[in-house]
Amino acid sequence: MAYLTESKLASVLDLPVSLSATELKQGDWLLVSTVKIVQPMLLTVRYLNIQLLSCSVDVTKIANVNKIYGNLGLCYVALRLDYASGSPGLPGAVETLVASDLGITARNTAAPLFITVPGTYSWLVANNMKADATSNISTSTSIDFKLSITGQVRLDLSNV
Amino acid sequence: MNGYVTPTRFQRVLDIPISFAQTELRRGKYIQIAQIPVEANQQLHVRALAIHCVKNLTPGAVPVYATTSLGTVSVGVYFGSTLTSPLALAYVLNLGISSINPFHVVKCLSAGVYTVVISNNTTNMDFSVAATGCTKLYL
Repeated sequence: MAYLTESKLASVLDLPVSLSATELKQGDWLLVSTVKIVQPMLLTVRYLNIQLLSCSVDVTKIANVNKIYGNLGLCYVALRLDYASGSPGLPGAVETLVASDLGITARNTAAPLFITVPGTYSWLVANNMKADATSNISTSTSIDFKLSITGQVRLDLSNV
Repeated sequence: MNGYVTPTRFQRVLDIPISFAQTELRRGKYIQIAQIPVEANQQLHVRALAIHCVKNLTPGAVPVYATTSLGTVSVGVYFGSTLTSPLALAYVLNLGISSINPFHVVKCLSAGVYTVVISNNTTNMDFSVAATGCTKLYL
């Protein structure tokens, strides 16, 4: 383990993945952060959490039929490569942080993700809810969440 | 600048976040994302700043630019209040992503307040945009 030099310190940047408390409507999504990497950069994803602050309905009434993607909980944060448009829950996300209940859901900091493949990486948060006539929630009621996101990724500009 | 970094030195180097999640930016409007006061003997280095134009909210419109050199939407680091003289600028002409060159360091040495501003430079189009970046402040 080498010592840290001034030039190395200057080439390591901590970038934010941050969203202040925001109401996310049923089925909607937002782009939170974007990082573009080229060779020989190294992007380390380690710290990310999402807090569901409140819901417009009683969350105990939400059934699986209300979920757009059955495996992505109530809301989720997806990291996608070269995102342009479309639902962030579609297959192909680099990684996904799923929030299945109110409160804080945090990424496992002991399992960092190292990325060296060039491209543009975007973090998107999405509301995974939809209306369904067979659920306990009226189809005229929108299942909205108030949520916030805090995270940090480390960009090493000269990973050599 | 090639010596080893001591814990004392390390404590005096800060990464200041620039974070602007997807937001609707109306025609001709600008929003200040961050302000970073720099005092004498301090340095501010800008190496990472990206803008992502996610959605055109007025499809079909032909852009009429207020300032052509700033593209349709842009994010920049400014010293002072003039939007046309950024120290670092990332702009897009269409939907997509643009970032400054991280291997070209913008070093701000003059004492004063540096601001990060995102702006819509058209007079007839609205966009949904996000910006991400980071500056290093050497205290």
